[in-house]
Amino acid sequence: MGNIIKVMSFKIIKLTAIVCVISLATFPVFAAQTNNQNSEEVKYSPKNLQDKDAMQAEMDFYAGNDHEAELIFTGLKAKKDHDIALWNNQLGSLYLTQGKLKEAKDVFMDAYVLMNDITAFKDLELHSVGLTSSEMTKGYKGDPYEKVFNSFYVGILLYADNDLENALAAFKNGILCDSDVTGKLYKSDVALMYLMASRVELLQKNQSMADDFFKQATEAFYLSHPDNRLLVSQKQGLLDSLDKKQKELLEKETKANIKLEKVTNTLKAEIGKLETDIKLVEDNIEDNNRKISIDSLKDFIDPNDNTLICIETGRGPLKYQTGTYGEKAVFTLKPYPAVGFSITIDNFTQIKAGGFLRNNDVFYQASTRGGRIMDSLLKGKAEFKQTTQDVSNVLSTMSQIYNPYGVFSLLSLASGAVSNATNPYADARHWSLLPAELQIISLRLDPGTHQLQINAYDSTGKAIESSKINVEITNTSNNVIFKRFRGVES
Amino acid sequence: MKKLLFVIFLAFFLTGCVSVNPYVLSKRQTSLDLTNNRGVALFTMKVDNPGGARLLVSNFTAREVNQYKSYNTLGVFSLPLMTENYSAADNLYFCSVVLGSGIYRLDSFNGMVNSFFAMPHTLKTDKIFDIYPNKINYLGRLNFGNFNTQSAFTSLIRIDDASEQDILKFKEIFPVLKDKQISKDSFY
Repeated sequence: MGNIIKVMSFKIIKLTAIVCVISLATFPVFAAQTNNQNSEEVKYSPKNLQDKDAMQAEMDFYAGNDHEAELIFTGLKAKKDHDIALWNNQLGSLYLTQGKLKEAKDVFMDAYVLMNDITAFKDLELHSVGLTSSEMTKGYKGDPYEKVFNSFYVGILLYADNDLENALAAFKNGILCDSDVTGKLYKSDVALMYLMASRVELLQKNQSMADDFFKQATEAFYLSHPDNRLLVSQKQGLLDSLDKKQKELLEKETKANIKLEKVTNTLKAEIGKLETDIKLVEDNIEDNNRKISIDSLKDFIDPNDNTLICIETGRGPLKYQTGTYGEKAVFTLKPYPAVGFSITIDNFTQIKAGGFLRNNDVFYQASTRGGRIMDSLLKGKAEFKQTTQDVSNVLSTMSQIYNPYGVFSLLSLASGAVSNATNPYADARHWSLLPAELQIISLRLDPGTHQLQINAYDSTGKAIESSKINVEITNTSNNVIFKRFRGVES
Repeated sequence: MKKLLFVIFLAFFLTGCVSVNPYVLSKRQTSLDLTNNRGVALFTMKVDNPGGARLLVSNFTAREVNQYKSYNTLGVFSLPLMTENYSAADNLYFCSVVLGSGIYRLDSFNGMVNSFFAMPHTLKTDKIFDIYPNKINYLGRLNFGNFNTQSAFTSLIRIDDASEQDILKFKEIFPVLKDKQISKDSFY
């Protein structure tokens, strides 16, 4: 016994000595590594970066630390993982803010290819459909609204490069992505895409196509105008109810049962009421449309203008998970106080809010694209998790009462393991460096260098942010200037 | 081999590879370290309690919102409220939290009602806020209304910007903030 204690004590002393020696020996190594990590190259190398570091980059961007944000997103992009299109989009927004249009075009185009390729990340997508796998494991391709804005940026940057054919293709792709929504009325309501397509067609001397796109732009502008949004939402709700009732009626009528006559009559009356309500809402929308000015749309496609100034404001929609199991993804928006802008060119000409094309509201586009098939599938996953958890709890209770170490315990453990492995979490990945809104103005500026002072105003008309930029206008008809107001704090 | 791995683990542990948890400011705190991308959120909270029922708010819960992390790994932090956080004269709770830069959701305030048969009570908030690296931000005053001791929950009525009064009082309660620049931000 004494020998055993002796041997054990010796082993403990030996182990402690080894720990001390290794600690002392490795301390300088760790210290040196810490010093090395101060160098940005090591700190932001793809090897040392993890996806979660992107949050730091996001906050750096909104705090105005663009350099750090760029290093992190560039490092993450270099990993070439399943989120590469997301990193490219985030980098693109960052480059636009810095006025690096060429770099922005390159990364947006890389993202564009992946976001619109059905076969990209196919294996990962098939894997994520399983009840026990996460939505986050699939390759990021973005929601329809993200695809729309990616197409817009690709299109406008190609347009600035005078690559009109490809620019038009990108705008048409954006229009197509915009039609990938559940609510019929929310299809193709991004007026900006139609206007850009119209502008490009005009430059290519295709007047009839330009007119056609302008007509669709006007319809989309009315549809997404703030004065109509509530009514459009109301109409969408009524249309959905009508659709449901009509299907129900058809089902009942095919049964041709006398007992059902009363039910079908009630349904017919309800359908009649819904149709009347829809007509009333449509009349209200028509009334509003007559009051909405479309002058800014006409100005936007003025063939004499050679410059587009795009003012991006605030912060795009935030998508996050809620629900008992994080199975629901919801959007929210950080309010940004600036509602209007003025531009002073070379301390002389001042352009005020009226001429800007407004209501290119990213949050509206994001939040009217709900009801994807994937959402109900996620709901299914959450229900599966709940069921397996319930089964596990019941079996656990039964095993405690009837058979503490027997088959119930084993089944309970197995069911619990399945429940833990079930992965119902909604995919919250989103392009968080998008702005909340885009306001664009079309101008004619003489070729050469100009100084622009852009002031941002709140709803009371008080100037809240101001920025001076020098721009170089070339002798072409497609100059594009971007200015971002991020509004981190007042 | 096992021994070697154990020794390496111990060596890491001894050299100080530990993470920093969120914490609240205290009255006696003399320094504020905002390195490693940390920032501070300050906000006040008021409960409209016309009946004068006894309410003891003991903590608030903040949840991490991070699209780049899996939902089951997101942090949930319960942060204490101490006597120095409550100003009876103003009927206000002065809340603070030091967190790593990121996005968070102020989930709720939790406490007890009644002094004898104490019942748990939750003030539901569900508001998002940001923590910027190396910044101290005032976020607003949360107003809870229709307080009812029979109900388990009280809802948030509105958020006001009371920065002028609240920031001065924060500097008075927490001397560590006295010479610090406090910016304005908002819940959303």
